[in-house]
Amino acid sequence: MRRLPPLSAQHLPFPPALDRRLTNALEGRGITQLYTHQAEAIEHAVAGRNVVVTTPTASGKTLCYNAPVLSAVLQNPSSRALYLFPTKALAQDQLAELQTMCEVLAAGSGDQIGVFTYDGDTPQDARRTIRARAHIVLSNPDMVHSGILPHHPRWAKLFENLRYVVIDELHAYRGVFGSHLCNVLRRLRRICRHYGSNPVFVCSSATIANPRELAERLTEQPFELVERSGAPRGEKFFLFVNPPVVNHQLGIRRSYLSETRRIASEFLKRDQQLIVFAQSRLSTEILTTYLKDDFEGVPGAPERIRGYRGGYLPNRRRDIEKGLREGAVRAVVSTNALELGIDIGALDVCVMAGYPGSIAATWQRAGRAGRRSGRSAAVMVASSAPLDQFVVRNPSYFFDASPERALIDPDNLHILVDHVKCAAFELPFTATEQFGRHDVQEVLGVLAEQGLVHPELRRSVLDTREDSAGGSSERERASEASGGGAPPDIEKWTWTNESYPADAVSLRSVSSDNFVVVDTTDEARVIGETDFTSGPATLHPKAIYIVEAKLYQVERLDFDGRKAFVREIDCDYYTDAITYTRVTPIDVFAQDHQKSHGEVHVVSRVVGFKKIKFYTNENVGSGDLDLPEQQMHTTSYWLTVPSTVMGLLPYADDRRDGIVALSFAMRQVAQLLLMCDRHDIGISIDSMEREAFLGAEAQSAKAAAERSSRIFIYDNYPGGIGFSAPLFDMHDELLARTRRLIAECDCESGCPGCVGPVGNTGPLAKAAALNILDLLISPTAAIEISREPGAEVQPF
Amino acid sequence: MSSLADRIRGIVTTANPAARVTKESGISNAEPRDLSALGGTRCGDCFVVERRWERSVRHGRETIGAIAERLAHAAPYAPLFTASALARPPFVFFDLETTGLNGGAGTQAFLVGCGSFADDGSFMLRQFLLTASREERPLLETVAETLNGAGALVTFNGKSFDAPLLETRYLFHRLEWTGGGVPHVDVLHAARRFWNLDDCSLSSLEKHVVGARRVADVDGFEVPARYFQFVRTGNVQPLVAVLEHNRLDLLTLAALTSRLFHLARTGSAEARTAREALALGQVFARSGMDAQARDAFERAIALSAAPAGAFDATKIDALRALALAWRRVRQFDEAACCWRQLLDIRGCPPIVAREANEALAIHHEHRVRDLATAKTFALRGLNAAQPAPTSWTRAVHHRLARLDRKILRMEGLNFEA
Repeated sequence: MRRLPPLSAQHLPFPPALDRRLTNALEGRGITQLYTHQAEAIEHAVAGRNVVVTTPTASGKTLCYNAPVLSAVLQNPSSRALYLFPTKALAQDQLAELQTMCEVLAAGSGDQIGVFTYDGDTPQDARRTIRARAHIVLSNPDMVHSGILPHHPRWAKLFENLRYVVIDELHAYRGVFGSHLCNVLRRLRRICRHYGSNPVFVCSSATIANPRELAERLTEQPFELVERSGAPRGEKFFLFVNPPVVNHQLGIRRSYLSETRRIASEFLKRDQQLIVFAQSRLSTEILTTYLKDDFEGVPGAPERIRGYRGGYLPNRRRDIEKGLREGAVRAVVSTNALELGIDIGALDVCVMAGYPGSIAATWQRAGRAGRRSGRSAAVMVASSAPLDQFVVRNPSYFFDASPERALIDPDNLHILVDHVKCAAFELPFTATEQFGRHDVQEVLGVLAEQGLVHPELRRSVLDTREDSAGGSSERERASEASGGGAPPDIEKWTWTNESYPADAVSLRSVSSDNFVVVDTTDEARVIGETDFTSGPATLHPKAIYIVEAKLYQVERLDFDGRKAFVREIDCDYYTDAITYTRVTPIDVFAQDHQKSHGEVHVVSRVVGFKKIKFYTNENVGSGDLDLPEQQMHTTSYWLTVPSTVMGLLPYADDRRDGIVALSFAMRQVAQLLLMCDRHDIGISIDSMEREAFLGAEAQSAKAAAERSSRIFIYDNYPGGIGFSAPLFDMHDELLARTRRLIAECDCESGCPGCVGPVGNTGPLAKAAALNILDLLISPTAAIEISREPGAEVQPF
Repeated sequence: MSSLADRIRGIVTTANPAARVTKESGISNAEPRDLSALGGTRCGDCFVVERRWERSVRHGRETIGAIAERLAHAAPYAPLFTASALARPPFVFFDLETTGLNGGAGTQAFLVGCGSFADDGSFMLRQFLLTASREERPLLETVAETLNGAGALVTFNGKSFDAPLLETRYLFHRLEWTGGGVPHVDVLHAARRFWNLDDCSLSSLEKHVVGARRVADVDGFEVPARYFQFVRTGNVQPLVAVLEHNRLDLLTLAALTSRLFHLARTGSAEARTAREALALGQVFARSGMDAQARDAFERAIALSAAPAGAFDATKIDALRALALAWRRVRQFDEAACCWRQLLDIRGCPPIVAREANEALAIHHEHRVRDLATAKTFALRGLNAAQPAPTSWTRAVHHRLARLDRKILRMEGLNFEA
C-alpha cells in the first residue's frame, strides 16, 4: 500500500493576453485565477507555441485549450478552431460545457460563437449550416479523415482561418490509431498550407513517459511541455492485492474476479461509490452479474449496480453516466471505456480487476476515484498472469519507474500508402512535396503504375514547345516524354480514379464493419453491437451474450448480414470462444540464425467454444463451430527452433509441449520489453511438419527442417505497427529474460505465472522449455543478462 | 530486403487487385494526343467541342424544330416546374461527365455539356473538355460565363448531383459559383411523377417518352475509366463515344423539357396517359391553377383503362385529388361524387377509404342533413380500417354519438309533429 499525500492548489493570475470579455465571464463563474499549469499552457498557446499539457484527471485541463480558443474568436470573429476527441461521446461531453461558456460570452458581448459537433451522427441537412456557422468544430479523427478533409472546398472558411487544433486525450493515439492520426494531421496541415493557415496545436494527455515526443511525432511540429499540475489533490491510498495461493503445487491462486467481488462488496457495504475496471467485456459482464446478485434490491427498484462497456447503445450509456454523477448508481463495472475523460463525477474508490497492462493506464483508471478533495482509494487486484504477478511482487516498478512510452509508426507502408491516396484525392501532389519519412515521389510512382494517380507534365515544357511548334502542344508534350528517355518533367500528380479512397481506410481496425445484436425474445430490437474482428468470438451460434447481467443466447449469426439474433435465456454458464490462428511468412525482411522478422499472413478462425459455469469456473461443456476465417497481413518476429535442437530433447513426446510453454512465457516477456498492451501482439506456433505439405518451397527444405518449429510474435494490426523490428533486435534479451522468468519461478511444472497453467501443457513442459532455451542460447552468450544501462524496466 | 517501390507495389496490388493496370496503359505518353478526332477547337485555355442540330433533324418522334418551337411557346410555363418563379428563357440544358460519383475534392467534372436552342430553332451544343487538370480553372471561368447568361438551368438529377459537384469545383479554385442564383429545373423530379417508369433513367425516358433509340452507347459506369485512359495515354478514341453520349443526353433532356412545358401550356387534352394527366393536375394544383387541375384530374380518370370498380392506382389518386380540388372550391356535391366512386373501387387502400367515408359522413351530416346515411358512412369507416390511429377512431365514435343524439332528437320532433 502507498499513501499519496494531499496537495494544495497553486495559482497564477490570468495572462494579460487573454481577452477581457473572457476573463470577465470566467470571473462571473467564480474563476478568478488559474492553476499554474493552466496559466502556463494558455500563455504558450496565445503566443502561438504548440503546447502539450499532462495533468491528472479533473485538474481543469479543458480551460487550457478553451481559453486561448475563445479569446482568439472574441478578438477576431473569423477565427476558427478544430477539436479532436478520440470518441464521439467525449465530444458530446465537451459540447455542453463550451456552449454554456459561449452563452455567457454572448450575453456579455452580443457576439454569437458557434460551437457544433460534427461527426457520423450529424444529420445531413444540418451539415451545411455547421460548415457556415461553426467557430469551433468538435469532431474526431475518423470524421476529419473521411468527412472533412476530402470535402475541404466546402470547409474553406474553416481552413482559411484555422487558428487552433486541439487534440484531447493525446495518449489515446498510440499504435495503429496514432499512426493513422499522424497521417491525417499531415493531410490536415497540407490542406491548411493550401488555404494559407498555420494552426497552433494544443494537446492534453494523461501521464505517459513521452508526451512531448508523442505530440511532436503526431504533428511533426516542435512542442512546449507543461507537466507540473497546480491543481489540488485529496489524500489517496493505493493498494495492491495478490489473491492467496490455494494450490502450491500448481501455483494456482484464488480467482482474481472473486477477490475483486469480495473487495468491491466491502466498499459497497460501507456505502462508498465505486468503479470497478475489468479487463474484458466478458469479465465486465461477469462481475456485474456477481455484484448485482449481491447488492441489487428487489426487481423494479432503481438499479444501483450497472455495467458499462463499448457496444452498449448511446442512450444506455448516457443513463449510466447520469446515474453515477447523481449518486443513484453506487457501483459501475466497466471496461477501459470509462478510462477516458467521460464526466461521471467524483467517485470514492476504484477497484481494478487485473493489472491494466500499463503504468499509464493504471494511473488513468485510479484517477477516476477522488477527483477533488477528501480521501479516496485505488485497489489493484492481481490476476495470475505473469505481468500482474511481476507488478504485485515489485511495487516499486509501478510507483517509481517512468510510465510507458506511447509509440507510433506513421511510416508503416500500409498506413502511409493509404493516406497518400487520400491526400492525392484531396489535392494534387507537387513534384517536390514531402509526405512522411519515405520518398513520397516513389510512392506516387507506384500509384501511377496502378492507375490511381497520373503525373502531369510541367507547363514550361509545353510553353516552349508551343512557341516552336505553333499550337499542337499536346503532340509535342507526348513526344517529349517518350522520345528523349529523360525522366519526364513532372509538375504534379493528380488523382485519376473514381473511388473515394478515405472510405476504404478505417483508422481503428481492420474494417469499419460491425455486427449488431438483435434481441428476438419479444419484438425484434437491437440491444448492442460488436466490432467486426471480435464478432465471431463473441457472437458465434450458441454463445452467451451478456448485457448488464442479462443473459442472451445467440440463436443465429448472419455473418454476411452482420447480425446476430439472440434470445433471453436463463442459464448458469457463460461461453468462451476457442480461436485457432495460423501465421504464414510472406516476405522475410531480415534473418539471422534463429531469429527472423518480416511480413506474414495471419488467418484466424473461431473453431469452438467452452461453457464455463459462473462462480466455480468449471468447464461444463463445449461445442464445435464452423465460422468464416478472418485474415490480415502484418509484420512479425519469429524464432525458429531448428530440428537439430528439437532432436536433442530427450523426451520426444513433450517437444511440442515445450514449444507451447516457451511461447507462453515469451509472449509475456515480449509485452514487457515492448511496453505494449496485451492486445497489441498475437502469438502463434507452427512446426515445419505441417508446412511441408503446404508449399513447394517448404517441400525442398523438408529434409533439413523436418521437425523444426517456429514461434511467431506478430503485430496484431494489419500492416504491423513497428514491434517486430525492435523485437528482432532484442532477440538475445528476449530469450535470456524468458529463461530467467521460467527458471526463477517457484512452481514445479508450470503455472500461469511462467509457462502457463498445467492443464494447457504436459507435466514436462516447463523442463522442456528450459532445455530448448539452453540449447538456443549458446554457451558463450552468457545466460546472465546484466542490467542494461538505461533500461527503464527491470523485469524479473 | 526488397526495394521500397517493390514493397509498395506488394501493398497496393494486394489491397486493390482490380486496379492493376498493365504496362501498356501505364505512364506512356507515347501515343499522339491528337484531339482533332473529337472535332473541337482550343479556345484560350479551354478545349471546346461545338455542335449544331438543324431544325429538320429528328430526335425520336419529333424534329428538333418542333421541340424548339413548343419549348419557345411554352416558356412562360417554366416556373411551374421550379421553386422559383423567375425561370425564363434562355434555357441552358446542362449535364456533366465526372471522374466519379462520390463527390469530394478529388472528383472532377471533366466534361461540361451546355445546350440551348438558337432563334432559328436549331439546337446549339458546346462541350468543354478538361484535357489537363491545370486547365480546370479557365474551364470553370468559361462555363460560368455560359451559365450566367441562362434564364434557367435545366438538368436531369442536377439538383442532387451536377450542381453540388460543380459548386465544389468552384470552391476548390476559390471561384464564385453563380449557378446557385440561377433558377434550376430538375427534370428528374417531374419525370418521376409524369412517367413513373420502373427505371426512371434518362435512357428509359428516351426510349419510352421521346421514342429515340441509341446505338452503341457508353454505359455510365464506364465513363470515368474511359477518361482516365485518355489522361494516361493521350488517346482520344475512348472519349469519342463519351462526348456523343453527353450530347444525346442533352438532346433527350431538351425533348423531355419541351414535352413537359408543352403539356403545361396546352393542358390535359394533350396528355397521352392517365399518369401524365394526373401529374399535370398536381403541377397545376400546386400553382393554384384550380380549374386546369380539375380538368387534368378528370382527364386522368377518363384515360384510366380500368373498368369501373376495378383497381387502378392512378385512378384512385386522381379521384382523391379531384375530390380535394372540388372541396377546395366548396363544390361539395361534386366532391361527394368522387368520394363515392372511390369507395366503389375494389382494393381501395384503407387509408383512402377511411378518408372517403369520413368526408361522406361529414357531407351527409352537415350539408345533405341525411343523418342515417351519415351514420352509415361513419360506421363503414370504422369497419373499413382496422389499424386506424386511436385518435381517429375516437373522433368517429364521437361523431357517431353525436349522430345518435341528433337522430333521437329528430325522431322526437317527428313524433311530436
